[in-house]
Amino acid sequence: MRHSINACRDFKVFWFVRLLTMGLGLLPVSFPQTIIASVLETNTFNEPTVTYLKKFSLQELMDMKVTSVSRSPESLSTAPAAITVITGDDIRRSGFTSIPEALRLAPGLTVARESSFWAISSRGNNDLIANKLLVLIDGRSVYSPLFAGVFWGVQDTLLEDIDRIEVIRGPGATQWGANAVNGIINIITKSAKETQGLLISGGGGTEERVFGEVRYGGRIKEDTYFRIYGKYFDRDNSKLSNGQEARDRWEAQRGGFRLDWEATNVSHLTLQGDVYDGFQDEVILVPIATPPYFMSTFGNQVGGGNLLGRLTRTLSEESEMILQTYYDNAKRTTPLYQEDRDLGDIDFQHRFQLGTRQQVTWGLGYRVSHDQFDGTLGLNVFPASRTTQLFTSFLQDEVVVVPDKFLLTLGTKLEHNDFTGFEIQPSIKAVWTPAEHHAIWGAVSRAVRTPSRVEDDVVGIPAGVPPGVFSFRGQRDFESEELLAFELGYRVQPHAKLSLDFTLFYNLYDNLGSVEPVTPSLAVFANEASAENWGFEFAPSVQATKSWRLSGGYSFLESDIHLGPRSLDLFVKLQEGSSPAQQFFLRSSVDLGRKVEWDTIVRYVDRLSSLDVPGYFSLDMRLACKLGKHTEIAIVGQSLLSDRHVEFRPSAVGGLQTEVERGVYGKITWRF
Amino acid sequence: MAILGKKQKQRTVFRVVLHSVRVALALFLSCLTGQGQTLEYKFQAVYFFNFLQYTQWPEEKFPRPDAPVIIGVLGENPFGSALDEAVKDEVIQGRRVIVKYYRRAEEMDLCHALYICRSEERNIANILPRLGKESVLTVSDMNRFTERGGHIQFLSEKEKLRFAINLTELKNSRLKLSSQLLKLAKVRGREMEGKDF
Repeated sequence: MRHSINACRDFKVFWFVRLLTMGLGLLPVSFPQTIIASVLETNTFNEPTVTYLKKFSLQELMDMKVTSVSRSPESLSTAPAAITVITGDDIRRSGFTSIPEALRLAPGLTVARESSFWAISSRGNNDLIANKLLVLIDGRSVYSPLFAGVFWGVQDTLLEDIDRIEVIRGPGATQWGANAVNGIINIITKSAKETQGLLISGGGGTEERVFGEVRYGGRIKEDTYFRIYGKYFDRDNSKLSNGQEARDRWEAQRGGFRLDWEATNVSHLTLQGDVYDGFQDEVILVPIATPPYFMSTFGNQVGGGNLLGRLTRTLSEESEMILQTYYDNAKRTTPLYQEDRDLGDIDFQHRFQLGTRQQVTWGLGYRVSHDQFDGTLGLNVFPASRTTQLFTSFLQDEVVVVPDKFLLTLGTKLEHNDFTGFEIQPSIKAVWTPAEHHAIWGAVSRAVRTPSRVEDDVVGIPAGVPPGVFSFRGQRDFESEELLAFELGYRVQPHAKLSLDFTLFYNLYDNLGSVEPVTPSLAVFANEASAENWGFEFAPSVQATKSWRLSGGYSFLESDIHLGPRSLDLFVKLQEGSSPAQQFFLRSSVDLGRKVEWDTIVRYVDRLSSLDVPGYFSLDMRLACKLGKHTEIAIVGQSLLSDRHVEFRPSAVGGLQTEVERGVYGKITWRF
Repeated sequence: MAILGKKQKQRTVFRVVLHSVRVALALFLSCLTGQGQTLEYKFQAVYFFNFLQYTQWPEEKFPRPDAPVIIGVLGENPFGSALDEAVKDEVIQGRRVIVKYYRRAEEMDLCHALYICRSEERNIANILPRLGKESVLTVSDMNRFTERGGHIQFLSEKEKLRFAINLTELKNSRLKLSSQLLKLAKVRGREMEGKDF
């Protein structure tokens, strides 16, 4: 048995290397001659106009050559990571109405909806509340230590105010810390200066029943800008597989502000905060002791708020200091439990140039998290209240080994948490740019996923398997899950209007969490599993004409989970097939004249083998038209190809299967 | 048939040759007319316009709430119409933008930002003091402009347009630039460091 696993691993390593060499070897020759010819034809005499140049930001302009006439606004990224940036404009044009939905625009990311809950991960190990993906909103971690993962249903802001979402697939623990195992999502909002004026938008439809947003941005002093916003939405129930309404309304209201003070030429102060509350209902079958052994209940209430301050001192392009602190509160009341969590965090980061060839970044951080737990129906933790602390430090050095050719990044994070003590998460990354439009990068990194409160402290979490009731128990010696990741990537821009991005990865997980039965009705959390995930991702992007852009993504994943010799786990194996083996999307954005935008997104997601979820195709479309200077109307169709489809299975904790329905909505926006 | 094929082949060869000649000729012409240079000034014009958006003038520089932002170009205008195109129909901090061209330093009147052309390089020692503490953002692509007391200097680096900023002089002129801009710039005048944190 051992032997066959080893053979299997060797085989994969072989293919990993093989594919990579094939990819590298084939690419440069396979670009059609016509493309090279068209470079010559279209670009030689076609000098960009001032009006054209004005469309780009200063940063984008700085990446263009002024002596040649390359029209490429995007320089080839030389980041040694599989990174994708979803811009605010991408989100607006997609017609998606929530942050988790917008992540469908990132190649390689798996996004599945189950009622108002979302299973989002990259490179495998997906689950509702996937535990290996770290998410930050404006530098504030929204990763909940309760189950270890992100409650996507409450992560929101005014989508119009999002500057960009940076999606990094693969580990980023050296910089971001524990739990940045399979990926990091960094949601960044615009500064108040960039969101001046009044914005009112609203609309409704079949699934997005009714929604409305208001934002006002103004100036207090010559160098102080602010914005305030409020939003509300009410989404329709999903359908159960038998066609009945699922009673899982998703309704929330939210408000917030942001203040940006450009205090001096080098210092920038940001103060921002949000409050929200709402309902995120779901029907849950709660186990009971008498026949029929379960009863159905529903109703989840959520709420919270946060306040963040950040002082950025930018001395030049190579020197910057950031001091950031925030407070975050999150409340959640479900039929199974009630949690109220307060979290405080302070973080300092300094980047500077050392000599001519080194750029050093170091940082220190402290976080304290306090929770109050009430297990009203089944899910209990002991102690009911716990305060945990986290101390972090990191150091990273970017060394220019050969100028413009070879860059090496070495770094490590050292942190101490109350669950497992010290954790060290180093990485080594290299980028080689053999020619101007080619970048090859590789990385080896270690990352850990630290234990959740439930894995440590739960005393009864029932899974309704009638007629018995089965419960879990946490244990304090649950260890961190460990990842050793190998990545190789190639980015190329064979033509100013075409860019391609390939990534290969091989992830080795150890100490993977498992659930070990100790009696017929009780199981404990342990670390008896290990896993290998490998796969590749491909993301092309083409500016076909001035007004037509095509982009897409394809990803392949294989996951093998191995149980230790003592393990009797029944659950962790499910993760082998909880992410699709293959998925792709293709997005087309067309400008029809100056006033009309037409966007189409086609997606395919392979079946989820272990969850018995069939594969599906999906089509989303948005048509928007500007009426005059201030008004825009849009009509959006979502999941148009079928009446309804399944995307994920509810968690083991007795939820009912719901399906995502076709939806159409209209929206009107005024900007003044 | 074979003859026809040959003819066609010859025609293709001829077309390729003609095309290459055309490309070469055009490239040669574009060098001759300095098309590359005008492109660089198109970039500079757009950068300049961007700088203005990131600049904060003292309130008293605008006598009326609707007073326009006036930008001047001093010397032999290298922009052609590029600067006019860059600011056309634009508003900066809610104000209209006007471009004025001055041939000599003596002609200058009130302005908020001044582009000093290379033609004035010899004169620079007289021009900058003339602006004194007027809070005029000075921009140029002449060599050592920031060292000589200018605010923002364009630099060509690996065929890309970069810029340097002199923080000390900005502070003396009571001008504020957004840190977003500083993030992209080469910063000079570091002696100010630490005093305004």
